Amino acid sequence: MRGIFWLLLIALLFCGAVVSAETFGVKKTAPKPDQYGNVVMNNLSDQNHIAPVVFNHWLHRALYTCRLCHVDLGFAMKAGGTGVKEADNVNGLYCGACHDNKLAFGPEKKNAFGNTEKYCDRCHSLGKKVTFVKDFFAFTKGFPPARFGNKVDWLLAEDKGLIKLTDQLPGITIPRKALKIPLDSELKGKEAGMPDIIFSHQKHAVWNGCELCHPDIFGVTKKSSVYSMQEIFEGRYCGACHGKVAFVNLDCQLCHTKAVF
Amino acid sequence: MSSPWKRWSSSLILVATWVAMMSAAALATGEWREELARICCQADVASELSSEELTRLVQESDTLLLQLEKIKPDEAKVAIFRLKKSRDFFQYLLQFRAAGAKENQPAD
Repeated sequence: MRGIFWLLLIALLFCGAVVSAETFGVKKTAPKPDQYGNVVMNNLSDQNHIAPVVFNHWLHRALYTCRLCHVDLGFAMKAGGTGVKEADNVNGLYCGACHDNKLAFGPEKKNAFGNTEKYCDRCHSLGKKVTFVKDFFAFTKGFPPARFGNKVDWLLAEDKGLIKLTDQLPGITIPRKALKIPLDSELKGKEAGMPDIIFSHQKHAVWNGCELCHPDIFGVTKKSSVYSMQEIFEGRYCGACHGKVAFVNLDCQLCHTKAVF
Repeated sequence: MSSPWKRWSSSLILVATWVAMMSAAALATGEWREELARICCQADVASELSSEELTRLVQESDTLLLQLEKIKPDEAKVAIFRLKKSRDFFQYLLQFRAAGAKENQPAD
């Protein structure tokens, strides 16, 4: 009798969990600070029986501007959208623009004894225990903290001179002119009582340039200027970066900054 | 003409043709890279360009895109991506200005 009672109770709890999950959704687990922004690149790795690439955004964003990779080097804004092949890297495109043993480590190198050392695991690391040369926690020690994401306030880190982002690679990227940055703009919030957003073109354009956001993310149509938080949470508009790599959009007051009187 | 002389002259013609082809290819490569750099660097100052200048940049981008599409894709795919980004931004600015002008038109 007691056994049946426990069985019924477990079945009831299981059904309750399933129903509430369908009703309220399943809570996503936030990635760890050193994993926030990581992208798994698996266009051809599985087919070629090699571990997929785990791209660590935190290290690259600490060294380079967003537009260097996403405009100049041709990386798409969506995972899997670029279709990088090993041959491309060897030809000096995409990852190979920097990972050539000169600017950054290449796929292989001859050691002092003339033997070839392969570094495949340093990128093709999914599911492997790889000890990286740069450790996230050691690298970001003493950086200004943030509440979510990498738990690093990258903007402040740059302001304080803790990171210095490279925007151009001579001989690889196109030489740029001094950027003309439009004025900041005010975006009206839809929720009553929610402070309006002061959108800083200055902060965004310095890292992204103009053509990273316009028109692919923010077009010219009416719909492009009226969007909801739900769409942002789904990865559109501001959500193309915020919530994936840039600060998490749960930090409401970082965008909704206009003083409410 | 004697046979060795014939062989020499035909070899010379072959070498000259090969050199000319290589130089043309090198020149073409250099030219599209220069044109790409010239067009794309305008994106940083595009907000200060006139609509006529933006329209011309869009046209020049389209012409260069046609040229790039004829080059081996492995060589030109990043250049095509880069050029499309700039081209679309110039087009965006034109549309943005047109939309703004429409909004500011006085009501009848």
